[in-house]
Amino acid sequence: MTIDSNAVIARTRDHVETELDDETIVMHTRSGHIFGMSDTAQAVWRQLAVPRAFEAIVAGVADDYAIGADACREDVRAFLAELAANDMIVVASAADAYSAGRHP
Amino acid sequence: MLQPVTAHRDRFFGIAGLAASVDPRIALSGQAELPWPPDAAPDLRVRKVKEIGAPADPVVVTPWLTAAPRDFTFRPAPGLAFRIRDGRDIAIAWGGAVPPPDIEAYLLGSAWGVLCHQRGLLPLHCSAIAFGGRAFAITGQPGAGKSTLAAALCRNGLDYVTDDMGVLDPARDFALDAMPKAMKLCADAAAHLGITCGKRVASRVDKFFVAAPVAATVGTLAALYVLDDAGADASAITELSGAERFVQLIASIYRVEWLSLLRQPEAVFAQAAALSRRLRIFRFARPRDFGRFDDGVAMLIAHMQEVRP
Repeated sequence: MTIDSNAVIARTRDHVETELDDETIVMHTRSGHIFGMSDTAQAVWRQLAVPRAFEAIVAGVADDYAIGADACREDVRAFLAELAANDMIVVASAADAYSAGRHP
Repeated sequence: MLQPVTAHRDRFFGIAGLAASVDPRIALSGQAELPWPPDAAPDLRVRKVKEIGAPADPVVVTPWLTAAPRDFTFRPAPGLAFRIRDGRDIAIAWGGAVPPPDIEAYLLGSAWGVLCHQRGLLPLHCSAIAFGGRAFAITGQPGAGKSTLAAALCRNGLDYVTDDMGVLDPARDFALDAMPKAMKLCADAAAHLGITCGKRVASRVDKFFVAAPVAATVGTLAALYVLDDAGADASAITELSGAERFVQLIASIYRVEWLSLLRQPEAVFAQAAALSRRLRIFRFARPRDFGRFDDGVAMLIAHMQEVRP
């Protein structure tokens, strides 16, 4: 799945998580799949503590690493696509998110 | 005055930290029989029945397994069936051709694992030994060599704790309760260790019962070793961290393949998270040939001496 730059992204409710050895461990409760997140992946997941627009997530990760947004945008996009493929997040267009009252 | 006549009276056993009232027609070897009358009501009953029946609302139905989380039935062999309910009742039906050791093996194996899950306990698929008053568990895929390694460690003076299953109680700070039962070894492993084989394990044609040493009583696990079954050129022990540590802990849960049928994933995750924060987990890779087996055993003993919580 391609994550559009105008997308709004939210975690699904089907997960539990814990911190262990500087990693975030997340389990999808319906599939049972377990994911370990560190570094950029962990930063992206933390940005998703509340639903956010794609560019807000990129900006947050860039701020965490004190780098320019262009330096991490595609990495963030690729990881979000991976999360979406595993039903860990829902991705909506900005228009859909506003109409659902979930604006970022 | 007429007195009620019963055909039998249950025997009481302490099994892996639980008091079990057991039908005397069910043979148990190596378990600690408790005095009669018991001090308190048993934690569970183990009964012989003619038919086990079936759960009312199963979440899975197969020819050999029909289960709901609190009412779980399985048929592991022709003529043998178990039903485990509410973590308090194990009903067993068997025909005349089923050897008693097979009934005991499945009772103290899969059926007990289901019972533990229903009670919110955390059974691990492991062998365990004790050293200096601390317990160390060895886990790995079937055939990885858990029992062989545990037997070798015992031949080197370490105390035997359990073979096949250790039960951790989250409500008691993950205290370890061992499942005392006969150790099973492959013939070549027993020969290498100089251990005499007993009867063949019916459910595993390549394994034989061997006499286990008297089990030591221990408190909590000091470490868990995961056997790398891929084999290696030389023995090596590496500590696991983060997601790898967590995943290996989940994989070591007894009957992990039934976990989704028995427990809420959130509850298992919470227990595993709490345990993984306090338990050190190591991968133990070693050559699989007996020519270099003893070197790996010596390395493991030295590691256990040094490992700290």
